[in-house]
Amino acid sequence: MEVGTPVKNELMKDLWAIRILRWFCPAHLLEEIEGDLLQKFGHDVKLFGERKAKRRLLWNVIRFFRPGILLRNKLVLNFRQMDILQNYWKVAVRVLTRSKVFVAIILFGLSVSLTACILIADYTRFELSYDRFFANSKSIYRLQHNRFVDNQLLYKKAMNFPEVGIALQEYFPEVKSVARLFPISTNIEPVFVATASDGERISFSEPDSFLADNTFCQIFDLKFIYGDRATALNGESKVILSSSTAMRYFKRLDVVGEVLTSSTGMGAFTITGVFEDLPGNSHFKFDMLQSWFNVYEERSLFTWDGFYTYVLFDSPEDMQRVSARLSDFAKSYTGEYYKTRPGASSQFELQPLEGIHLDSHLEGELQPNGNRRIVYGLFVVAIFIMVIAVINYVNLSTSRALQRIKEMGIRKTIGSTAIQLSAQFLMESMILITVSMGMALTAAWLLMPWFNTSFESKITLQLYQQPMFWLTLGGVALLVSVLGGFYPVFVLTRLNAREALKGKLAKHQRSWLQTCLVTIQFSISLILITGTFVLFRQIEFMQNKDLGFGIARKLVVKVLPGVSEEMDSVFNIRLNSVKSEVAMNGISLQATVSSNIPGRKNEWRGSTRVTGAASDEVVRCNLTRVDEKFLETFDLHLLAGRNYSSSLGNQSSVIVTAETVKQLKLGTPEEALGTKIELFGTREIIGVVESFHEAGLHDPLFPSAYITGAGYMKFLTLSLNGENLPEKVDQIEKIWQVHFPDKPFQYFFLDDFFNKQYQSDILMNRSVSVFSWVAIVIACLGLFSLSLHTIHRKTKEIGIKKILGAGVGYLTRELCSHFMTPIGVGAIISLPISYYLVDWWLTQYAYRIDISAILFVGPFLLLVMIGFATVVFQSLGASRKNPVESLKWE
Amino acid sequence: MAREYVGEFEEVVLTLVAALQDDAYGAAIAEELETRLKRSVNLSAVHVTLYRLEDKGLIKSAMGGATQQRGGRRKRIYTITSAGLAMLKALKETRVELWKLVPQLKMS
Repeated sequence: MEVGTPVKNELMKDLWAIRILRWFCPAHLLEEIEGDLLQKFGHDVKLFGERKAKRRLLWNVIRFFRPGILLRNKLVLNFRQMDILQNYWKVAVRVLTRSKVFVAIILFGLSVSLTACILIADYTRFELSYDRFFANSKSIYRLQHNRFVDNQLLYKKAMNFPEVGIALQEYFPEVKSVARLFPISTNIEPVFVATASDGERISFSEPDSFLADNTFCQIFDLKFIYGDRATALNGESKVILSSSTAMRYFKRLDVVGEVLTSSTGMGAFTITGVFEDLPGNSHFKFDMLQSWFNVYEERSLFTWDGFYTYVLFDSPEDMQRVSARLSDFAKSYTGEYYKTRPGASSQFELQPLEGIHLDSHLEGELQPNGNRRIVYGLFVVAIFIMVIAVINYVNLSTSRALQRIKEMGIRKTIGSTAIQLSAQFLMESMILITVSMGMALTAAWLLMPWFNTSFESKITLQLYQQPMFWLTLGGVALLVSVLGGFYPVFVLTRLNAREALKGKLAKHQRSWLQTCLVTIQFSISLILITGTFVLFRQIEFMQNKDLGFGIARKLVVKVLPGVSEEMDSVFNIRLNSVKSEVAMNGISLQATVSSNIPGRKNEWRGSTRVTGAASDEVVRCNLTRVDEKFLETFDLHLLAGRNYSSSLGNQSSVIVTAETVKQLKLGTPEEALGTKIELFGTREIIGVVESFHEAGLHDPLFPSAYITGAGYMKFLTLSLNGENLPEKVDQIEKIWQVHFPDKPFQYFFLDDFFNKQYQSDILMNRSVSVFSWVAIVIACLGLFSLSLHTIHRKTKEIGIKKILGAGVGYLTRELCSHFMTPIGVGAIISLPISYYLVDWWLTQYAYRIDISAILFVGPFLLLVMIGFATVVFQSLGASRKNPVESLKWE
Repeated sequence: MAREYVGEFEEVVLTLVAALQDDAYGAAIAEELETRLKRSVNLSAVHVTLYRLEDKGLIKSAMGGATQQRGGRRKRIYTITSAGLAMLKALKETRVELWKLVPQLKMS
């Protein structure tokens, strides 16, 4: 029944409807069905035209998707498949054991990169999980304070006025509950004493202790081990402890009813509860909560924003409503107070609890918060590493597969179908990936403690308990296997059996793809090396920069004064005798007592202006109470004027920094002398010291003023001389104990303390450098094996060239240049990207290194050297070979 | 020989296989169905029926020659087996017998 002339053959090639058919149609029926379909198609083309015929063909194909056809598939294949699978397995194992170097490189690359990814993924999960363990975490908000002066934003602060929370609850019925938290150490660092049953007294200072409203435990569901959560903080002089704190004092947990006595004059506290230590992923960290009492007075209601205020809502809608009307509330609450202060105002904002750790960088944070940029940055690094490893894998398995072209030819001749050939490759892929995943999971688990100590993180690999993780892992495994098997399958199965047996293939296409992939690898590596290098230089710069004050050999002892103790003359006499005794014994050159030390974030800030100037020309400035030895002890440089001659009777004088003079627009330091400024009364500038980087190099210079007088003297700083510091510390401790038997001797060295603020930079550098080395090693492994294969393939070519007279040097050069191209191109690609990244990263430092060519050339040279070292030995070996050998090589 | 049940469509296809002889393959049968019986059928239905008849042992098949018209694909040519022929005959006889039971009406 063949009708009409045959349709042109070209039309019948490459019909994708037919390709769909191949997916599901049983192989033994395929040919005739295809034939019938095509015949019908040819018919249709003549009757209806090409377009419609194609549509009809597709419809006909779809109609074949029916049980009568599909079931025939399984019935026939199932039986043989087991046999075939077994054969795949056998061949795969043989192939893999035969090429040990290849397998080792693949396994190493994949498992190392997977390990890095798992660790980073868990770290990311941890950072993103902050405060989510509280049952109400989604409905808790913190009230932020934005203060404006002269209609300009002065600062944004995490802490708020003492009673704003109470007023908020009265103003908005939507607010379910409000709780305040007050860090006791703002005033005095408290010291507590517990008396054990045997009469032994144990005392600790408690920097992480807070006053809390009794609603606090209702908003935040602390896990109580002993005591009643609902009522624990009701009443006066109650305290609840974390389990580790309870263990510290009492060496047991059931301590409800015991008493802690303050040795800093706050009285005795009854323990009403013990709660489980807060987990690491919490934005606050407290060991102790005391029941609330009013530490503030009426007059500081609108001036002292030193209280954390947490608000609980019933629903997100409530929060939205309140948030929209917060400015009305601010006006009604603070309006009265600001009436006499034009231009000044306060605004409030609600910060979601879950975002505090990563997104909030306000003044007065409870802890240095994380940085979303760092978290995402690390995540990107992890993905980079994964990409490099996968590229490696694809490249290697492609070169491997190309060597097996004859095997494929034989299989085809015997009758393997395309699907069966692909299955062979996928099987090998799967085996490799499963093994490397197993290795990575184990390695991540083993490396977790190391990761935690090196990066100061607290991850626990909770990822392993999440089904999502395993699903993702399975997905990655599948994807990588398919990618690794894709190219061989794509090329080899399309190959004509006759050509395959001859060992022929299209070479150009292949090397193009591989070179591209290697180029990508190297540009990623180069970006990572550059990043590491820049971070390293920046940290080095910050640590070596002249800060303007001396931080070496400064021993700082925490004075831990009790309430109004400094007013007590006995206390001052004791402190002075410590100072003089230390000096007498030749331990210390200088000693000073101050309310703050350079390098510590100053919590005491005030506003000042030139006397007689308009009230809106205020300058915000750090305040520190000092004595007459302060300048000498910290090696500060006096630009003009004089130091205090004694620590008494200076109520009308002040020493300021050059930065303060500049911001008050007082001209040169000499001109500024004698100017009267408003700062706790009218004071005359008697001295100007050179500005110094009080708060480190992250922040720009900030105005500072130094006054004398009693109050909040928290630190005794001793400038030590000579060697043997540990012995000197012992001596000082002895002297301290003689004069202050009740006070614990707590000290630190200023340089350690100061460098701690660079900790996050150092950690970032460490992590980026570790992971970029991982990336580089993997990329080099890739280059190594690639050059191995290329040289392998070119053995004969080299032999012929040698016979024709090429020297070893020439051949080596030629082989190396072949591999240098991807490095060079990679460098060109990565340059703008790394420039952009470096620029973006450095903007966060107030004092930063200049972006210079060396930052980019250095890493590039390093990479070229590493890459060169990887290929040069092989190239050398190959070109040295006797041509007789290489020509015999098949 | 156990009698197998054969459906109406199966019977038609079986008859066509017998009739078309060396030219009995999927597309041809479908075309015959369309031109002679004015029955529009889908190719897949014909194929499935053919496979079923083959499973029942009523027809057998062998790969035939390829033509340009089919993009170089070979045909599967079906031939009726003796069991198939017997089945057709039996079907026809039952039908004739049943027909005899119908009172003959004159069609003028």
